Amino acid sequence: MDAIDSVVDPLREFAKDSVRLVKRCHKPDRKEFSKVALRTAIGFVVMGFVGFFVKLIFIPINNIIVGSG
Amino acid sequence: MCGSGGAGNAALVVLQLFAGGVVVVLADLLHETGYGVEGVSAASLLIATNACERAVSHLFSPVKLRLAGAGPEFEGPVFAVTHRVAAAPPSWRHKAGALLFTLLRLDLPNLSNYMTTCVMFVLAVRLDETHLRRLYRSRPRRGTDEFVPIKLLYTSAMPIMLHASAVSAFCVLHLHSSGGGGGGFVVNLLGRWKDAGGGAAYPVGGLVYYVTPPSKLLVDPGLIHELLIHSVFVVASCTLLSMAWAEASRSSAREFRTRVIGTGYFVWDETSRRIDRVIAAAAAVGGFAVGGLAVYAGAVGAIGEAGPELLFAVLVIKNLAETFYAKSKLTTTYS
Repeated sequence: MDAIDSVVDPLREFAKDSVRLVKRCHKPDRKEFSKVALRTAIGFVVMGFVGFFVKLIFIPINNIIVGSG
Repeated sequence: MCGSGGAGNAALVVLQLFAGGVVVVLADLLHETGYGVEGVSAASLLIATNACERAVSHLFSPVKLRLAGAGPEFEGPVFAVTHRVAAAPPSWRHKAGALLFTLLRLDLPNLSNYMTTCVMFVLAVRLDETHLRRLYRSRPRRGTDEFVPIKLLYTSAMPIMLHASAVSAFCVLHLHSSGGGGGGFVVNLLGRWKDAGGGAAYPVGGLVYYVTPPSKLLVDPGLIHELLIHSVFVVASCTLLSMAWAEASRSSAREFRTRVIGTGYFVWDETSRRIDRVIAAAAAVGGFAVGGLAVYAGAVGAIGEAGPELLFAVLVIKNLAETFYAKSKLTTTYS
């Protein structure tokens, strides 16, 4: 019983800390979230399309290299 | 793999890998010597770029494939839905059927993957924006409270990357150990592989089967118990890895206190203990959230079939955008 208490009590305390942390955290409101999401989406799309166009350009180049090999 | 050609092709493959490694190291050096935006490492940027490129190329792929039993089919869902809806007979029933087929097709990227990617993107950005403010209050100097934010995703996407690397290494080692002849009892207990042709293999039993994410969940609903086992494994390992990483890396509680003291404030013992408990809880909750997001992305099928890398890409690009806008406008997002 004492061993079980020594294991369960820290876990219960830790779970209580986690729940309290989640409640006290500052959640982003709609304006703040939309601003950050827009910036991240722009970065994501820019990086993705740059890589996509590089891949499109290299399709014929790869065909030339592999074809001669 | 490279059977035809023999030693020549093998030497070419080794040379290609060596040249690729040299390019990555040079890019990292270029980034670290001040030419790149600080705060984000070059290796993280390379992984993020790869994930973004894979997502966009899967969405807009112009490749036309000829599947068995069907006509030519575009690989990218954007061209596929346009082609199928335009080619369908002019009645709403046929056009709706074409749209539904493109939404739910199983062999190629579909629009459901794209929707899952958008949902995961929104959840990741929202979780990363959640932080704890007003953690530290300076009592000797009244009116000069310092806000030291602690993010809920304290270790970012590192636990899921560590988890994916560990699982991949385990699968590769076990595949090589079981490939050479009939394995013993221990090898069979750890897992069994089935040859899928062309040098590929997939697990069919044992520990390695439950460690890897279950595939084709929409085809076989009987795999739900394996999905549950895999989910518990991923979430638990991400939580533990996050807590271990928070202690081992440069963002541990001791380093955080040193950084706070470095700004000229005195930290009481009570505040030190509270900071320790807050950081431990943030690491655990962050790891749990990242594991849950990765399980959701892998189960429902994010585009590119790479949930962890896509999640990592979103978080890296978000931090990069924050640093970029903070340096350009000299403002911070924590007001």
